[in-house]
Amino acid sequence: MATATLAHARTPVGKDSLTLRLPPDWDAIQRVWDPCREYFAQRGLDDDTVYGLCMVTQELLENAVKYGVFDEGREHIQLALSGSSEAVTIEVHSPLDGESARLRRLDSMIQWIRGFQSPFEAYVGRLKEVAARPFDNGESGLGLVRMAYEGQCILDFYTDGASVLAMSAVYQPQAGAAGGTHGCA
Amino acid sequence: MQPLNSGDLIIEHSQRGPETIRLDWKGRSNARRPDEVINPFLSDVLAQARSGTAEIEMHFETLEYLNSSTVGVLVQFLHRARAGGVPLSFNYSPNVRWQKLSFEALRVFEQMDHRVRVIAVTGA
Repeated sequence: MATATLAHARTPVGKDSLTLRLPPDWDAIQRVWDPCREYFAQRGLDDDTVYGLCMVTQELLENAVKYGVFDEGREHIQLALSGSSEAVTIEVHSPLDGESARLRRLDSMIQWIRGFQSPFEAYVGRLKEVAARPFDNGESGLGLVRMAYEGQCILDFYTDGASVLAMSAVYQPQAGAAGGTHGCA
Repeated sequence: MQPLNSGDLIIEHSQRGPETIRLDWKGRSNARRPDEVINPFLSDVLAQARSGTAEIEMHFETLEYLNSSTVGVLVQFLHRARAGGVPLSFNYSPNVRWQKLSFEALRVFEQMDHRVRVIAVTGA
């Protein structure tokens, strides 16, 4: 569903929130970088952290485009950013097809990351795996662990019945580089 | 050899003497399938390096962004270069935090093979 312009509904839910409704189009999600950077910068975060959170947002959106099951009535991705002095949350909603294999893979990856003492160790472990095998269909399997390591975010997800996957990344300034994950299906 | 120019990404190719092939990554590597875009180009570079026993020097100092799929492409290229006996270096700017985080993690491969080097270019 290619669009020439960024077709999103920009809804300032409140002073501290921003919601964007996006078509599942690769070019469209690239154009979200600037409004996200503006939003994170307004939270008083430093430039490096803002960049890291934009990267996390981009990775979450890329996953939504790649793995979402879009059909009539379920044609969009929703991105919601919210922030307070304690935490910044990035949440991406995308449609599911009720097939549980994707959720099992997601849960398995999150549990795998949790098994490491630090996100850095998990990332290095994943790099070694990627080096040793070809990745299928452009899937490196690095996205989630990179969000935990470079984005210093805690990852989580939930489902709305069998129709919507909500994937979130939470950055807690006070937690610094702790990172990590906790997942539930 | 022509530069790779695809979407927001440019990879410029230059040769410094017969021993070094230099690749300068510029812009943003954000393609959905970077393997399809970048691998054919890198395969040509690798073949050229092998035929001339040159090393490959990749420079990322001015790159603005790379997605995780591109990291996968780089790691697998590193594996191919090692298998082909081609020395390879990744040069990055330590003043840019995302580059420091991304490329310092690649030092794990430096420990496995002395022909792989990760170099922090100060003043970049």
